[in-house]
Amino acid sequence: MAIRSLLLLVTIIGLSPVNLHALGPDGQALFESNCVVCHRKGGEGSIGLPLQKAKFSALSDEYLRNTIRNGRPGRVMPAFDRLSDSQVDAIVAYLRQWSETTSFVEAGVAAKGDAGNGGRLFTGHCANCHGEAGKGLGKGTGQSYSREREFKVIPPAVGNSGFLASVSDDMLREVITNGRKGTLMGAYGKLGLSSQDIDDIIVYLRSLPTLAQIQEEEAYEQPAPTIVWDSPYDFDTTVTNLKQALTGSNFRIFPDRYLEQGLFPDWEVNKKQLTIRYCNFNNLYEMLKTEPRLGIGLPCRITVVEQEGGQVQLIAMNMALIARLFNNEQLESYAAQMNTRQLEIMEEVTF
Amino acid sequence: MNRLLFIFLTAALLISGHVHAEKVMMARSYQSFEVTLEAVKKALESRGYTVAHEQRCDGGLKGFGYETDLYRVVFFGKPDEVRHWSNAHPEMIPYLPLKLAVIAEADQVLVVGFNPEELAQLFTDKKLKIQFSRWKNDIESVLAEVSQSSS
Repeated sequence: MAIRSLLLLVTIIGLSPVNLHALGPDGQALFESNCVVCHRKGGEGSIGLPLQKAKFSALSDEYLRNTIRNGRPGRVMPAFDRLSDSQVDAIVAYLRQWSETTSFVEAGVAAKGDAGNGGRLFTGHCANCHGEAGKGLGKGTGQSYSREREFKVIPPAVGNSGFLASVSDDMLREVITNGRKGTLMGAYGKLGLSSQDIDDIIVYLRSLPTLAQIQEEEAYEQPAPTIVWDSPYDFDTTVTNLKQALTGSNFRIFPDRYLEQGLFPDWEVNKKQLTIRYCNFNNLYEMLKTEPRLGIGLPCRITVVEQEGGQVQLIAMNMALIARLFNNEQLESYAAQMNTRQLEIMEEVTF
Repeated sequence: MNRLLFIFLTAALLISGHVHAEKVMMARSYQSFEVTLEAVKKALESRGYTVAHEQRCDGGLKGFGYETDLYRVVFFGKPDEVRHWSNAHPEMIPYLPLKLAVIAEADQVLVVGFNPEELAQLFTDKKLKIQFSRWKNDIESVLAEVSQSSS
């Protein structure tokens, strides 16, 4: 008994948080469980951007740490706020080892200048690739074999609040001045911009909405999960009206499917919960190019339900909520369009 | 002995690369699309779920002349849970049955689902919140199983 107790004590001490901390989190294991699904094992890129080893020498450890922590609001890369500091450090250490690079050295020199001039210079020299106010160009941000891609890596959204919260003025100054090898980013220090011009651009970028402002806005705007519309008609008439409205809006309608179909034997299925599934494949293709994982919100569907009291309702997913899950602001504009069309259809059905 | 086992298992969980649930939960499989799809269905069924339906997304796209890799959506649920929650909270209907998308990426496959706990903050029903947590845990373990079986 005494030996067992001693063994238990030794085990507890041996595995205490202090000693676990000393052992340290496994950066490679954390990378594989958190990053590989999007960036792939060799960093080839997929849903997430390719991680090109050569580029890591231009990035500081602090930038990598902040990028993992902050993500890129609206640009697919999530904020890994559930990871501890030591876990984030372990991933950064692993990335250094994997890329065989050392950290970019920060000098700690803050940019000072004229944001107005910086904005004009940004529009003239940078917006063509980085988008207006640095919002980025192109559909989606990663690289997926499910769809076509014109470029392997698209120019980053340098006005993104997550990027700006991660990058230092030193790193921005270095990249704008000397460019980045192997990308379309030129060395603007040799292409006509003075040191002060470059600092003006940095000051302009710092004047854009901050991460805290974006997070506050998102917390305030919480989309409802569902769009529900009462029908003044009986169940069958509502179903007929819905199919007519969808066909009239150039949607292809799939065979009817009851909500409980496939879950219960046919004779037990509730026949007053009918899901009408529809699709416009042209729109679908455009949306999948923007977000290839959108399948978890597909197919588009409106369910006609007759409640116990006889009230008939049309119920659809709020695509704004789905778009929010993907952290993809380009998808949010598609979702808003889809919601508008859904509402128009529901209005037509119940008019 | 059980206490020792518990401590070891807890420590193992702390040391290992724990999968953190984000808004969108994903796994990458290095097996073929067909094998992965079957592994997903088997993992769901072994946890008491019924696969209600399998929706092809690639067929329609190809029919319209678009290039796309294999793409399926697996609809699944526990019959009594789907019935209960669709009656108790009709606004849950668009999210039922639950879904996992199985998406080919050349020789690899992504399995994707959204984290049901993301809906929890939109509902006040405590029992429903518990249900969301259970679904999240089950989806997480299905994804872990699919991922591990392919590595």
